[in-house]
Amino acid sequence: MDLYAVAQHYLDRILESEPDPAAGEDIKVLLLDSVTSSVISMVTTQSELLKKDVFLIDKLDNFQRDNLRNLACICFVQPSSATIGDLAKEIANPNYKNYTVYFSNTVSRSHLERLAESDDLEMISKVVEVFQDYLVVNSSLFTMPQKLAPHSPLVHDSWNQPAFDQSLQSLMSVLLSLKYKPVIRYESNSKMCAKLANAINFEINSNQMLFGQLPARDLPPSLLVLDRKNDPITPLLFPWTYQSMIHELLGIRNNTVDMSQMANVSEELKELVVNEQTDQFYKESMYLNFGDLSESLKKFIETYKAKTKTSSNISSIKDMKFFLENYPEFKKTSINLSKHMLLSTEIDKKINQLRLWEVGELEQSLATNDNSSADLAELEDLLFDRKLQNGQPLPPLDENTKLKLLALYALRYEAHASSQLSRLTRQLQQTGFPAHKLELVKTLLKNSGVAQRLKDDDDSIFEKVSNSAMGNVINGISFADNSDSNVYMQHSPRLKQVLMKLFRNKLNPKNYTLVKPNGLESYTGNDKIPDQELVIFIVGGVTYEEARLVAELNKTNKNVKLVIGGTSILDSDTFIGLK
Amino acid sequence: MSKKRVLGASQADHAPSGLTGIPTPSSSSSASPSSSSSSSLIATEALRCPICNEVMLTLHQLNRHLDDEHSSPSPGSTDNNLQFETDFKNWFKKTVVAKATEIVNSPQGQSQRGSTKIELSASNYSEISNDEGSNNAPLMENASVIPRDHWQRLNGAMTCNMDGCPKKLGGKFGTVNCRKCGKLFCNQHTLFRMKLDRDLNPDPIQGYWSRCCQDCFLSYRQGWNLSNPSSSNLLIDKGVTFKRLRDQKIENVKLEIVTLENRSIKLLQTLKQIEDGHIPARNLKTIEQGLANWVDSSQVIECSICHTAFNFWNRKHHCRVCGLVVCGDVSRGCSMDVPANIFVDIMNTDQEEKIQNLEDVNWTVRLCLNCKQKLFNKRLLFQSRTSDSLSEFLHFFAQVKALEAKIGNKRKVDGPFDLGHVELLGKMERIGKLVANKIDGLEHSLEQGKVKSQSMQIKIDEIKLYKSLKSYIILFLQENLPILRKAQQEKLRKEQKELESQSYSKPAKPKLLKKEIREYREKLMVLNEQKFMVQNLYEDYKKRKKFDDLKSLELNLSDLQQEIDSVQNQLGDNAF
Repeated sequence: MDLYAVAQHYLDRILESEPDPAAGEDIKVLLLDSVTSSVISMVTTQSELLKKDVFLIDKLDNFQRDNLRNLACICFVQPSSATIGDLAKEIANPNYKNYTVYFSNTVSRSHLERLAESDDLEMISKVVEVFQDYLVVNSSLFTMPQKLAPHSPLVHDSWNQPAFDQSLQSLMSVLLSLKYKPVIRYESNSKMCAKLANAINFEINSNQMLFGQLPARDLPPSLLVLDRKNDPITPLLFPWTYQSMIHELLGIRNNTVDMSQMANVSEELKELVVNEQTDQFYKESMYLNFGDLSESLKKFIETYKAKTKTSSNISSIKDMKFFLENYPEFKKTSINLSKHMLLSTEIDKKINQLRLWEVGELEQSLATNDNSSADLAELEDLLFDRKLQNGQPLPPLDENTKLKLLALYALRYEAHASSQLSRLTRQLQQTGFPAHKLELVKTLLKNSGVAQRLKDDDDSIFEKVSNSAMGNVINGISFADNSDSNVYMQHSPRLKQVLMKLFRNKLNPKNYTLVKPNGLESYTGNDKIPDQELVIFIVGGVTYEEARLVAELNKTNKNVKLVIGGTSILDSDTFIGLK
Repeated sequence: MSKKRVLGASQADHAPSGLTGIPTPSSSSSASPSSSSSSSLIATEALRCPICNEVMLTLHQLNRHLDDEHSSPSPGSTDNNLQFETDFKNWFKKTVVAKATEIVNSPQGQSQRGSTKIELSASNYSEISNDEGSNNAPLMENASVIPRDHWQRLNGAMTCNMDGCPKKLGGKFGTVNCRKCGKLFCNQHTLFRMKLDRDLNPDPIQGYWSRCCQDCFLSYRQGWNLSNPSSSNLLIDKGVTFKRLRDQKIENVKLEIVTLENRSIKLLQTLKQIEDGHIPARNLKTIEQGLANWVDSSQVIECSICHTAFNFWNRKHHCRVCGLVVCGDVSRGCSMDVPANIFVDIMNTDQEEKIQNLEDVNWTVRLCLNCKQKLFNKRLLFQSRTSDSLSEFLHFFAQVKALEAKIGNKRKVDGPFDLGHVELLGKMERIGKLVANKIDGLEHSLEQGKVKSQSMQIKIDEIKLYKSLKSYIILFLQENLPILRKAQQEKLRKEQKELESQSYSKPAKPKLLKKEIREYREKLMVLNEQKFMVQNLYEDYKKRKKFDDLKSLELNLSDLQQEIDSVQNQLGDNAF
């Protein structure tokens, strides 16, 4: 599945359309709104646009723009009331020769009328709907264009209305851009999922004109709507793969990492773009774990070393950095290399600083093993900084890391009779741990504790999924085995269990309500044939780890196409409520 | 035909098991009057196969029988099959009609049972006709549906047909034919499923699920490969809807504008006539009032546009074109006195018969904001579109595009590279230089303008455009740099050869003719200029750390330097 291909196609259609064939090649002005500018920035670069004769890019709501009557204008905007208003103003007092308007989603008739009313100068020569109202993050990961809190502030299991509208619109555009008319499954214990799924069903049914013209498929595609609360573990654990770590430790926002706060960073590395589409090394290593990443970076460097015929023994990341800094001519050859070096050294630094090696090991053990007493002892050591190294006490552990460990313990042993949570909380409070942070654990338990989670047959989110007797190849779809010796990668997201069941058509219909839009009534979900095309949407946010799972499935299985998305892309701080 | 033999012929005495082979159970129901449709008969008849009249014990059995016996005719008998289908449909129609009349005619008590029967037969019908697509159980392929004649046979030790799969077929890896292409694969490489019809074509609606290989799956599966342009994304053109809406919406506005236009033309003509003395000036107000149908100002207490209340300071004014009462506040701009000659000029932009200009420049016409927009906007837009505000930029752009096309053509025609390229690229560089100068100039004057607080007509967007053009040129040059370098090397080699041959024939330095001196000097100048430009580019890249391109530029520079040296050498003392 390649969302980039979809986006590229739309982009070509938008930019290569000749607004005025008589005038020959035209210089184009591209007007965007806040949403579409991030949509565009995720899938293309300035020079790509330049090659297509787009010489000026500006915001539609910037009214300081100059009059350039000789130029043709392309508007790529979201059909929201605000932008329609801006567009109406623009064409009533036009700055450019003519306008072609592309909406990033279905435009309502009333909006079209409003636009028509203001177009008494007949400036608009074309109005087209494309369906690109979402951000392409990876080739199989999408997210919402605006970051809105999904939950209503008062009741956890209900939508924040703007976030709901955006999710609905975005998801509809995902479906349409992929030409999917799906059957919908949602987790029945979640009101938010139910609301979204039913709204999508309604939209599909009321847009039969649109969905009816889609090509018939052997098997209708599926849309799987999940709720984050059913898997609170995945976003809490520290992820050990490259892309996830960058996000967890440094933060990826619209494919850029802001490094301007770092000391000793040269000007061109202040803002790093991490984009699978433009960065070959990133594409190859974004899903690698930390060990493999160093290996791959080493190879990267060695190829250059071979080119420049220098020799120096590189064994650790520190050595690598030294090597790079001391060979400026070498550095010249690749900004890219230094970019990844910078990222991985920063990650390394943070991992050591936050003592994530020991924390990660405990996290994995808490999440996957049923070893109450040993884990508790280790947890207490970390929480109360009792660990010694060479007889010296280690520097105290970061507060937020402690909090996450506590949260993990709380979730794990919530239903356990011997849960020590209240004692641990009390003791932490005595050591001066901020009470409002401890409160977050309680909130987490309230929102996604065992009572809130889906009781999915016998499966527990605390199992190693590969341990379950399902095997790794299911109905022709093979799952990567993670039962290798890597102690930091023991846990796999609950999504894996769900997908395994889905592909053997063993999802409990009680837990996963099936909604069939008109025309797909014959679908039963009991076919021997596993789903071939699947869109997964996680209400409450998706993690890069889940995206990795999906990307690996896509890579190893040519007979399925999966796309995953969520209301946002989570890191542990955001999930637990620290950010 | 063999499939359609009438198995239950002995039972259904009046069903002709004759030549056609198509049973006509309709005769049974139509022949038997309502009296014969006793409950027992209904029961047996309901569970009798409507095609072959075989008696079934349960409905389930009947269904299975229908699936097994009647849904899959042997391959190659499609014509018969068609015939069979139409016959069957005819039979069904007749039955339903007959039954319907039967129900209508039959007494109350029996109608209930009659309807059940219809339901039953109807459901049977739907089972049969739809069994290929929407049956609840998925239709898996079987030998009788999907032909197997094209299958590859296993002989000896064969390996999987999948590229790069070394597995030996048979044994633990399995032996599977792709249903579509027929080739043999191992188990693992035939995990794909697609729906095929009887002729092995993909048929998502009526097809049968069939196992196939990756190649067949990916190439026949509709819309699977997203980068394939034929399976392009969904795009909805709303242009027609929009234009229709716009026509509806602005029809009235257009009519209104025409009225306003006519009035203004008349008004302006009247002014002219007054000036010429044809009409006395005192009549002006009456004419104005008559023309625009003035609103009674005593009834109006606030401005019709900004809704500010009128008072002593805020006076009432009539728009001379629409007759509305508006305020004359300059800051709000609800109405203004437009100098009549400007009015005339604007109106004349698209008027066939030009209105004559007035001699006295003091004539003004009061227009309200609405009328002003309606009358002027389109014309002003038209004017500004024809006037070339960006002509210089567009000129540059056209040059760049022309050069680009030339270079592209040349490359197509003349093969990989040519000396001509160097010239063309040089031209491109020169344009780039000019553009860079222009940017500097504009930025400078912008700063100057700021200092002097003098609103010079410099558009920031214009500078942005120039900058984009510059980076466009740089991008283009970067892409073509390898060609440039190659061509230059070629040129250098040629010249060196020439030089060598010259030095052979004329060992002593020849005295240069005046003409030659001039030519060499010109060449030197051009070369120096080129060197300067490359130097600039070099610095620029260095600044922006585009180190990949620096090397090629370095080479470039040294080439240029060499050439300059050689020319200078030739010129000797004659160099300036």
